[in-house]
Amino acid sequence: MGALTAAAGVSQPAVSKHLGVLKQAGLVRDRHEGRLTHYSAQPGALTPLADWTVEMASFWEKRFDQLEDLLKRMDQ
Amino acid sequence: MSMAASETRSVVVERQFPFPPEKIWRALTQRHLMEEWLMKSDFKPVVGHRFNLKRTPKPDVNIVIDCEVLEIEPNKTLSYSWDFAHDDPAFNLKSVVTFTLTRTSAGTHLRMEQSGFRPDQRQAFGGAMGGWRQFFDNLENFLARTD
Repeated sequence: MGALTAAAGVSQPAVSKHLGVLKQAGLVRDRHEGRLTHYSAQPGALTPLADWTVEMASFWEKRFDQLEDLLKRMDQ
Repeated sequence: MSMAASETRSVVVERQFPFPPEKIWRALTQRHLMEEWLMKSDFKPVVGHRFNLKRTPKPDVNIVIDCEVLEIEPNKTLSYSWDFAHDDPAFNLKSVVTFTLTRTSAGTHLRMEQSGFRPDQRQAFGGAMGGWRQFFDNLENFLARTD
C-alpha cells in the first residue's frame, strides 16, 4: 500500500478509501498475493451509466412503426 | 485501459418505406401529422424555430422535450435539437435528431440519427474521469515497473 501511495501521489488513507469505493462500485477488483494486493480496473462497469441510446433505439423503432401506419392511412 | 469512450453516442434507425419522399416529408414536418406518430408539438419547418414535443404516457407523467430546428432541406434533410430535462439531472439528455430521406426505386430510405450525450457523461468522462485516469495511469505505471 505504501508503494501505491507513492505512485498515485495521494496519501495512503486516501488511496485505501478510493480503492474501497471503486471496489464497491464494481470498478476495480483486487487479487491478494501474500502480503501484496493487486488492483485492476474494470472499465466496462462505467458504460451502463452512459447508455441512453438503448432506450432511445427502442423508442424510435416504435415511432417508425407508427409512422408507417400513418403513411398507409394518408391519402397522397 | 480505455475508459475514454467517446462523450457522444448515437442511435441510428433506418427503414425503407414504399412511399415517395414528399409524403414522408409531410409526415415529418406537419404538426398534426407529427402528432400521429411522434408527439404533440408546436413545430414549424423554419430554421431557428424553437418548439416542444410533449407526451403524457401516464396521467401524472408529463414529458416535455425542448427542440430547435437546425437544418431543413425539403424532402431531404430535417434536423433539430432534442433536449430532455429529467427530474433527476443525471438523466438529462442533450442531443440532435437528424432525418435523412433518400429517394429509391422502391420509395424512400428514411434514416434517423440521434446523437448526443448526457450531463452525467460529461461529469463521469470529463472532470472526474480526468482524476481517475491520472490515478489509474499512475497505478498502472507503478505496477508495470514492479512486476
